[in-house]
Amino acid sequence: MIIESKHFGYIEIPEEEIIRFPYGLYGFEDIKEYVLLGKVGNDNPFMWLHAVKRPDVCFVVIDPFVFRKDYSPSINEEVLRKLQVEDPSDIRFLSIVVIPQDISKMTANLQGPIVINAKKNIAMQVILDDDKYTTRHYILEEMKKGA
Amino acid sequence: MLVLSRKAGQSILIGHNIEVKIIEVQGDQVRIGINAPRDVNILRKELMDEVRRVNREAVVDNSLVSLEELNRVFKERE
Repeated sequence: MIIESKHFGYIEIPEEEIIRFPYGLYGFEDIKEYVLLGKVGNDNPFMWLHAVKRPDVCFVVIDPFVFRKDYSPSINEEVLRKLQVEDPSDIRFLSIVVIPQDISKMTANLQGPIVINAKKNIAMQVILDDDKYTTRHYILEEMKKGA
Repeated sequence: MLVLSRKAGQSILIGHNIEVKIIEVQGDQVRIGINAPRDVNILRKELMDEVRRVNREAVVDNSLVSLEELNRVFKERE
């Protein structure tokens, strides 16, 4: 399938790589399908999460465990049911990144992670009711602290 | 918006299975208890608004950035 992207032009992606978001993302509730781009064959922890049918909607996402090894989001049964999780090892987490003009100040949202059932490619954004995490963690600073 | 007056200890019901109970009133703070089925998502609204705002911000700026550049900055700190 061909997806159109404002930044990348036309990209061909296998249909089975489409990740369904039955509830959308907060603020983008009507967009139900995304693909992850830029993940193949390199060690870059950043990826694009690109809307399948919206050339203008694209996020930078990061595996939160790469800069916060102690990250421990608690996911309730209801989320597991909605994502049709049968085996907890199928779960992956991604954090949406905000990139300001000074990119060294980029932040990741650890309070509202994207939770993915990697086996079935179903995902949703979950808001954690947990004081430990905020919507804006400075990635490079926390990386340094953890090292 | 439907507006009701309630006292501490009183409840309202939403549908058959959601109960919102006023636990305590102290000055400008109200403590509320909620009984609802597990599939009903309960969130403080300002938190949801904040996540919406951050998501929208995340989309706007990305056209100026490359993953390679992000990785380079990231690896420098590693």
